[in-house]
Amino acid sequence: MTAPTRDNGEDALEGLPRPSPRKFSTTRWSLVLAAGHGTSSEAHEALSTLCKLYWYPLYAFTRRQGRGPEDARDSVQGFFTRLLEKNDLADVDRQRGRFRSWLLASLKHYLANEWDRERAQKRGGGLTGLSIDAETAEGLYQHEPSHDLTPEKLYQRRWTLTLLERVLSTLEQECARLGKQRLFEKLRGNLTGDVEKIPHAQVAGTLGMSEDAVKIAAHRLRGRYRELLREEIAQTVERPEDIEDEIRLLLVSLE
Amino acid sequence: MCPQCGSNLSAAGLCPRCLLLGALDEEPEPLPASGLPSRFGDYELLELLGRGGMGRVYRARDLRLERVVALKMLVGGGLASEAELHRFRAETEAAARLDHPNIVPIYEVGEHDGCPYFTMKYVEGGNLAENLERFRGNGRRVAEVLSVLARAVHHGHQRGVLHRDLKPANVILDAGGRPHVADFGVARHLEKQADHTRSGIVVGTPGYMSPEQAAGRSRNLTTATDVYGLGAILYELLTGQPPFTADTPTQVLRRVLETEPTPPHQLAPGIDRDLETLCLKCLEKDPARRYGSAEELAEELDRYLRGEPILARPMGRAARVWRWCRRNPVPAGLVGSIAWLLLITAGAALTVARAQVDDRRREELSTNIYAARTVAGTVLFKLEEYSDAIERAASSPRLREPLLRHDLPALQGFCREMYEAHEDPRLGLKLPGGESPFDSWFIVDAQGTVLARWPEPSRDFLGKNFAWRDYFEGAKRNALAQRVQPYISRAFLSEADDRHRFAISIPLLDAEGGWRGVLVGMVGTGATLGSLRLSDPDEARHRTAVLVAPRDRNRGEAGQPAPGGYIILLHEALGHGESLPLEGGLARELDEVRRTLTRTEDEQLRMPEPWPTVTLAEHRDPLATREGPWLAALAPVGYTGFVVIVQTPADAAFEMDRTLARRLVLWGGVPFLLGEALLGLVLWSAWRATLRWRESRET
Repeated sequence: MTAPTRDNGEDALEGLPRPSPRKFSTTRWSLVLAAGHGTSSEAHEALSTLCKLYWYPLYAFTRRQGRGPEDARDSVQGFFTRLLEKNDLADVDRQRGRFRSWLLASLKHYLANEWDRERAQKRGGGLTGLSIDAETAEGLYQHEPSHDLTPEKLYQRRWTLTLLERVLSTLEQECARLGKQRLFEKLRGNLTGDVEKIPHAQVAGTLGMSEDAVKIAAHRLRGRYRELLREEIAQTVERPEDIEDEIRLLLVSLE
Repeated sequence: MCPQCGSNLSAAGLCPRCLLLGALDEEPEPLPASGLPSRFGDYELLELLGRGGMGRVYRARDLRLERVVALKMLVGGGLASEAELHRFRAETEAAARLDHPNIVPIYEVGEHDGCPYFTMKYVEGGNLAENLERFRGNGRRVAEVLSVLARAVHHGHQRGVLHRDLKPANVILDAGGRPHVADFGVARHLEKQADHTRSGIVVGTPGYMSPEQAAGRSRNLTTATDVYGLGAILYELLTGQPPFTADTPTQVLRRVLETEPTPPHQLAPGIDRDLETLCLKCLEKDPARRYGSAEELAEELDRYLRGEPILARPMGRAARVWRWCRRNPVPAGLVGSIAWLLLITAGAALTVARAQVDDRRREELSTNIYAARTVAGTVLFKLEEYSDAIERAASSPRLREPLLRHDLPALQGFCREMYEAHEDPRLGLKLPGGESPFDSWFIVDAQGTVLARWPEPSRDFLGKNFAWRDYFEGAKRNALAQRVQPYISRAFLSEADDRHRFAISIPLLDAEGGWRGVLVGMVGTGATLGSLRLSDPDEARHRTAVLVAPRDRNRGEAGQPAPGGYIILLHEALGHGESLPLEGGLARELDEVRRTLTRTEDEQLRMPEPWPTVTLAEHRDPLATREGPWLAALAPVGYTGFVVIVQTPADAAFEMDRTLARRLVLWGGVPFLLGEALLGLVLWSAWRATLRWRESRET
């Protein structure tokens, strides 16, 4: 996260965000796009953050292409190094589309040309980019269904799942911070819209709340989840109008 | 396997498909039960008015009191901690005690189903942020609104409640256009908890935040923070934008902390300068420099509205420069050192130049003293030569015989011989060549009656009595003392031919020492003393010498004591026999030179010891063609009463320094100015570039 944080509860920045977004609708991806080729440090940081979040789908893609675990790790690491350090993947068009597609296109471009791969290996790779925990990566990959998904399809699906997991984890952390972890545990099933999965009455009984209160809490939780999800997606698209579209595309990736 | 869609994928144990679908369609507005209108405790919710941060505002009906209120609930309340709730309640209750016509009153604070809320008066109308345009360009209207707001805020302050988040969106205009401060003391609870750590997507504008808030010193905020907020509202009303804007909130905060707001008149020309001054005083970074209270601000605004002068003064040039220096210590230090260096150099140059001038003056005067003494010595030598000639003539037997016989033609012949054959060593005169230094020769008897004169006088001249003349009196004194020695007389206007001259006289004694008469040689005034030219032949120096002598009385003043005053004997500009009387200041200085000498009859031609001199830095020469003061030195010519003045023009003395200064200016000043101009040009264009860069960032 790039925005400043304070934990004293009396934070001067407490006022953010405001109801009127006005000119401050900057997302990470739009930052990167706006920076163009000569990326500013701010844009660089934004790009770096995004890469840290979405490295696994790239790994899965590379593996599914038929590379071995080490090879895949080196490739992805070399790619990030190239991307973050040199920042010269200029011929990959950033102006159109989303971060998701751009990242994959860039990786493909990189793999096709094997840029600097040797160099990255020699240096142990990713000194300035990010280091990939090979075991974690491979462990995750071993759990991928082994049927006939193409590398691209796998990448898209992994992307979607990574995104959702991230949103859920953020929401859980928020609740935990407010001491409402148990409430979250009980109500998280509701996030899929499956209201009747655990009857509110039962939850109310367990937590000592009124059924109405549980209903409200569940509703708020869903509201907050939606907000977080949209925010997260917004980070990877160019315009706020693209959010809906992106959700639909993510849905497609799950089929 | 998801029971709803049959998908067998999982994201953290949940169906990703359903998760995404759930996000796709917005649920109907969250209400406890079944949508609007609905019950919320004792209230019926009628309409959602707005949402922001963690707050939602509804128009609601109070079912007990049957009135319409605005109900704000903390939507995140269900997730809020106990401590938070407690503080919210305490502060809202404090705010609820405020009672002011321009503060939106809080009616009730409570919690329903774990959801904290408060109700306040429902004011119909928009907020100030939506109505900025109504105020643009109308300074009076802006001042009126601000004055009302400031008094309302002051009311809160008096009861210990800070607003902490004053901004146009928190000011509601009622149907009559009257402003009301909303969210007094509770604003921060409404904005709280909005998770700004995830602020990548939407962040609000911290452009109204005071520097102390921006710096995170929120625990010890004072009323000055609200004064700043009022200033921020004023700023936006005047210019249409918050005091600080930038692309990202972090940049805005940095600006709040580090830069001065753009003066409003640069954003909206035509703004009243008094309002601008007021506004900028509110927006001072240092809380202590703002208005001491909101009421002070209100009074100041009222002063403005009444057309009286406001008390705040716009930041002076000096203050602005000082602030700039504090923000830019390195360039400021550089500029300061250079300015200091220039100042010191200029001061030193001036002092040195002045000392130089003094030195030059002293040097010139001391040279003139030396020259004056030398010239005086030369004159003395010349007079001695003349005196010797007179003395030898007086001792001639060809004079004594006819005098005893009273043979007037023989005496006349003697005078003629002396006059014409002055170079003849046989006569003992031995005077240098050229014209006779003596204008005329005289012989008077012991009663002062003229016996003979050459050149030949008019007939009635012979027999005239001149016993009252200084030369006769001088010779008489010598005769009575039995001293046969010459006397150098005062200068006078001759009755024989109306020319100025002085005389050298000597008593004529017979063999028994009886006084028989006086032999007199007359010397005329002019440019030279015989062949002696006094002035420096070097024209460039303009050093000239002047010989002056005390004035003798005229016939009408016979019998009176010796008069004061002097006449010029020798001067470059003087024709033969001409002269000019000297009186006033210069005469006093001449007296001063002679005063230290005791006049002794017998030793007129002795070198004085010590030789007194007087210097004059502002001498005026009445005969000189050259304007301006002279540096003059005065020296007495022995004990004759004559004084030599040696003078140089003051400006000529400083000519050398002036030449030096001209060269310095030429070789130092001109390159310096050229360099400065170049540097200024470079800095100016750099400054312009910065401005353009800022503008391009802001648009």
